[in-house]
Amino acid sequence: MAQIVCNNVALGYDGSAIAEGVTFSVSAGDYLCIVGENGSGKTTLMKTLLHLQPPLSGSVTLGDGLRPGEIGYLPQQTLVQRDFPASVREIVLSGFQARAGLRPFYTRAEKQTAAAALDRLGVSDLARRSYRELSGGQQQRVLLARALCAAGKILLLDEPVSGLDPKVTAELYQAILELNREGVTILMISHDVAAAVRYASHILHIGRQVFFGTRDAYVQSEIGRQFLAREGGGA
Amino acid sequence: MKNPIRVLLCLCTAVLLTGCAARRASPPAAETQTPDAVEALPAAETGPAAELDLTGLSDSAAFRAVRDLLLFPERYTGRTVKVSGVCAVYYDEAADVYRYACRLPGADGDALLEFLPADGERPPAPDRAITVFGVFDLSAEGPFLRCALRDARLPAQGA
Amino acid sequence: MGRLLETLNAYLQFPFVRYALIVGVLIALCASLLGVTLVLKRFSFIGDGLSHVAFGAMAVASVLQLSNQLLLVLPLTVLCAILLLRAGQNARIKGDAAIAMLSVAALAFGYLLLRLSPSTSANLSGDVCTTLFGSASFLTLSMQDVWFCVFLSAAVLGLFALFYNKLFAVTFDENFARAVGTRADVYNLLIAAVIAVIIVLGMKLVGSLLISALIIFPALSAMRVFRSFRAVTLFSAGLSVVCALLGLLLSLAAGTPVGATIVAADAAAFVICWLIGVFLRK
Repeated sequence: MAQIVCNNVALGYDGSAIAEGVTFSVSAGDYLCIVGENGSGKTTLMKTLLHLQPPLSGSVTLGDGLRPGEIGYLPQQTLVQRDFPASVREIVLSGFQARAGLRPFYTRAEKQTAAAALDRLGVSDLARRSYRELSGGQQQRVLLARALCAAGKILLLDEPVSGLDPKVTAELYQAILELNREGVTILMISHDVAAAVRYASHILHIGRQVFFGTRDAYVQSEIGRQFLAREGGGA
Repeated sequence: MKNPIRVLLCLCTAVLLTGCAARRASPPAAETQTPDAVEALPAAETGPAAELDLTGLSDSAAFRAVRDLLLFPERYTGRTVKVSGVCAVYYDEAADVYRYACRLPGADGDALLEFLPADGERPPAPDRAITVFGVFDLSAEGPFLRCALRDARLPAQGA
Repeated sequence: MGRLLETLNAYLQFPFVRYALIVGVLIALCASLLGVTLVLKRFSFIGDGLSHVAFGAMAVASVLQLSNQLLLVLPLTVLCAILLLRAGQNARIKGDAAIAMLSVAALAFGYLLLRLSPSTSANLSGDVCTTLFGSASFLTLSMQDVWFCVFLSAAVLGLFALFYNKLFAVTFDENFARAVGTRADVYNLLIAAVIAVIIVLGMKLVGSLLISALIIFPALSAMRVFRSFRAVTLFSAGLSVVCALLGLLLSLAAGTPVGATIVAADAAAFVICWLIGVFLRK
């Protein structure tokens, strides 16, 4: 059952396209990695999928009962956030904000879901801690929990491991993989092609050429091999 | 000791304790003196207690208070007022009467609170320091509304 | 301690003291609550910028001899607040330069207008000074002023309580909030409008040069010590009320200018909180 279908989408700003002819579909339970050179339009695609920006042309359709606000999002962290005075619990609960409407408080069900999300990512003991005291990896897990609270079915992750050291990176990838095994659809923008190729089920390569297919197809394709060789494939 | 709330509570407790200690230090000295002094002071010296005691305020606050009296007289009508300042006298030619006021100096000019000496009160000399007790009242005089302390009494200066 | 309470009681007998305390506390409270969001969004200077715009608007209103200056000053300031906060979202570099340009131009233009116009008062420097630093006329407020302030503050506090969670979401991570469907633009607009209103009201208390202090100092002090958003907000509110009370009473007793004394109290509180923060981290 396709959750997102992009048909011949052109991405860009102010009329000039960065990438064209982007066609792919994502089904429930997929693990799609979006790779490509810098500036090739990966973040723009993500913004388009989240309905933050309209595509220059083409269509983006959501299926499987998904509404625009039901895609969990893990954006890249800003400097402001690293130093923000907020407890982990407050941050994770803020994932429910959009669905709460004008209700000024969180229901008990929401609080329980938040606690469960923290548990899934192995950071329950951090619930009362201050966000700015956490390590990079812990912060990302907290933000992942928040994304889960916003939407349980599908997550969009924008470079979730940037700035983290190798061990923490591996742990975070593992956590994401586990979420995927539990049935959460994963869409991830990644600079790390080697990791993408290791974990993903499908790859979308955006650049001068657009490639969409299974991970195996990518590894064997021309574009895949060139990119892997350039970016240092093989861990 | 990492909890900030605990630190703040400790600080507040420390401040309160020093305050209480200071208080406990001063009364013993006063208690030995007052029993004799209380009989000696005649009632006229301390004067009647006023509802609005401007002498208990700082100079600048008293100035502001007088300005408030004059700007919003309806708030204060009928209240007893005690104010201290310098006596100002001027002769009102139109009404052929001397008017008295208590002058309080301020940064951008003086504030003048007029008072009407009660029957039997000796009008004070100008430019002398005075303390005035009176009832604040509005009265219409022709087209004007006059704010003044009526039945003003001036306790003897000294002691 | 007893003597202090007696003196305090003596002061509280006077309506002008009570009104000044009520209005001062309410303005400080509202300013500090919004200050937390503004500081975290890196918009600390907006208080300063908007107050200069309000000064310029006041100059225009005096020259036009408007009976109620607020009719011009409030809408103009709210408009500029909205423009500045929106500019900030799209290009952060442009944001702070825009504030600087607008604020300085408004200040210069306002003063120029006042000097050149034949219809303004004789004591121009005095008037300008009181607008910049707050005037002692704060100590002579009418019942209308007080009620106006009470209603406005109640509205601000009500809005804050209602939208507290949304405010947090939009302050912590606007991208995420937008992505999951929160109307971040609407809330940013609300913040802009409310802060403009608070600034225009607060200029009467501490003057336009010092109003930013009321907005940012309590929040910054709270952030030195506390680590959750709720704690920071509550402490910031409490601290600003305490400093406003202390500053006002001190200025009454010592004859010092109201605005500068309150800001001095806020600054002293910041130093104390900073020291506590250093001690806590050891």
